[in-house]
Amino acid sequence: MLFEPLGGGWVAFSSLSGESHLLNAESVAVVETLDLLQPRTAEEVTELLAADSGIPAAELTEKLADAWSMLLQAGLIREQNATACLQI
Amino acid sequence: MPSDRGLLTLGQAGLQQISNALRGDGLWLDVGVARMRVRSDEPSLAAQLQAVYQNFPLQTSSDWADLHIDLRRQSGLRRWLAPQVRFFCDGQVPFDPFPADAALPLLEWGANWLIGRRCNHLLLLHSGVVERQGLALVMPALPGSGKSTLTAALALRGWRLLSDEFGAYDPGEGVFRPALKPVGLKNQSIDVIRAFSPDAQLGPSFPKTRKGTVAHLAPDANAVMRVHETARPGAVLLPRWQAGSATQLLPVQPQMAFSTLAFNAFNYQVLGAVGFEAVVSLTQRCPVWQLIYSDLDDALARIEALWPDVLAREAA
Repeated sequence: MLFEPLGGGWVAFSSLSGESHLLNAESVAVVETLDLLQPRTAEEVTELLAADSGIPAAELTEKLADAWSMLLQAGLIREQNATACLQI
Repeated sequence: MPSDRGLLTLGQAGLQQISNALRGDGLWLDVGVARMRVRSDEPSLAAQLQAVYQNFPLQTSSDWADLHIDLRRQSGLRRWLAPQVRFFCDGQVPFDPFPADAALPLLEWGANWLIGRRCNHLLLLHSGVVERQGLALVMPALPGSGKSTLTAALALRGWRLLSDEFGAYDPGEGVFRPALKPVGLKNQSIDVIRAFSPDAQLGPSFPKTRKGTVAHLAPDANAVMRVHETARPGAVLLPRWQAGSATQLLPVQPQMAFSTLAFNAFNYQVLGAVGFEAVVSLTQRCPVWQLIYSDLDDALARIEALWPDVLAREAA
């Protein structure tokens, strides 16, 4: 998957689907965390990002809610046995 | 004046010479991104080509052509009453026949279709492109948005025409390549350009085509002479002609510009990651505006006024 910053957001290209997507920073953070650190659950993703950014986990959970649904809807990630898995 | 290759231009040549080439080995037309070899037995085509390719060299032999196009009269009884012409390329007939006296529109649409299908080493935006001081002004748009009218008007005011149909972006070199063909004008835009520039070199009008009446503006000698000269991306303008509107030049945010360009490109999906990177690169390098206009002179004045900023941005 390719990511490029553009204006205040990001654009992404999935070589799997051949589709391009406009993403916000939260979505890119989720995808990058899944890719690099391979956490098993959404809670783990939130904890890792909270530790990295200094933002409280509770606040991040709220911020990431839209990102999860956006990424799932775009087919960039998929749920697997109730755990998140990067779709690349 | 002979062309830069020392050949007569089509405008200087006699009709018989053009006709002989079409009936013989062919007429080669180098449009930059492709070299076309055109052959035809349709008698009316020679004069039509002479009008709209008048500044192209009369080249009657070459060792290479990218597109081999034959326009052939239909045989059969109907040829006496309603003669038709067919478009052949590499032995295939991709389109329905046209009336024989509308051979030029068939050639132009067919050639564009072939370029759009075959030039997948380039990102092909559906766009007019003109150049000044080395930088390209790229005008992607949907049909009916006034793209060709604006492109023609800019070309008639001294901007170098690269293309009316293709923003042919070379992702490897980061430049636009000319796809230099006559500017296709439709319906009211023909009269608009005639009024805008009474000296404009317009070819014959073809009424009742599937797009209405069409006529073509011949690329000028400077554009033809520089048909292999590329241009760096300068700015992107998304034109929209709107009856009665005041001229508006509105900045477009990069993410919206990205979506617009990706959607506009003929072969974005075909190119995959290369297309993605190319559109990102264009969006990062170029300021993008939407131009809403109804008054052509006013629109051109606004474009002229913003160009120093485009040059300064590029220099920086």
